[in-house]
Amino acid sequence: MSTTPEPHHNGPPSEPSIARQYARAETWVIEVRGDLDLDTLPPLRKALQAAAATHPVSVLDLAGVTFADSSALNLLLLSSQATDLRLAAPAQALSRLFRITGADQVLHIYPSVEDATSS
Amino acid sequence: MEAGMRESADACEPHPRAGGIFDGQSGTIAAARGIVTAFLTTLSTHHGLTIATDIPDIARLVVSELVTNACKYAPGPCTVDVETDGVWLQLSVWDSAPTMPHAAKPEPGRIGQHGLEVVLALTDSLDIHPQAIGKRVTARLPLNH
Repeated sequence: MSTTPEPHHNGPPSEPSIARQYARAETWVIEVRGDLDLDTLPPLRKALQAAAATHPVSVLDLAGVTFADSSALNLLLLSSQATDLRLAAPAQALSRLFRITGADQVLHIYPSVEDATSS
Repeated sequence: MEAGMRESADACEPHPRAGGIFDGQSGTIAAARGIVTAFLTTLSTHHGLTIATDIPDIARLVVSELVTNACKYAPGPCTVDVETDGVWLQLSVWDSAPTMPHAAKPEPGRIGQHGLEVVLALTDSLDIHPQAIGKRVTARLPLNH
């Protein structure tokens, strides 16, 4: 006799996507980590909106981002229209996402936070 | 409807497979990626299959895009199935929405509609099959290339 399986209820994502934020010269640096998808994006969206309202330049430190999909890409593209958004140190998986969509030609990508804040 | 969490690592079975049914609520997308990650690890450790180093990241991205579409546009649960014949990895997502998705043309600055564009760029084939309820979207990519 078989039973109908109950769908998994997955609960809220546990890992915060914002590690820390700090000012560096005229820029506001947001350090992100973990997996970025539709469910985990809201804290980053709020942080980017707040940064755009208070600083001329926002730098997103992506070194700790372990995964990102097109939901994250959309947020980055949208934020780039609202402010001078600089993306620092994306790992290989992110670079692939930027490359295959051609977003690497639209977004401002830097090898490190130092490069992004000093240019 | 597929059964709940299940995984077959039995060498007697012709095709290793895994899958799950999800409620479509927050956490579904991450859980789908988790199934793919665990499945690829099993293929490597239990079946001795060689998997190209970039395939796990690519497979996670593909399933994330497919399940995101299901969560955004289809009410109720969705199912995720992953299987291999030893050469190809097949990722399949069923959802309740009958509407056939279409991939937008690549346009870097556009906000939105990059999901299927990403899937098409990373996979060898993408098939969309209408079902009695909803549809099944199946993407295929090589384990090694």
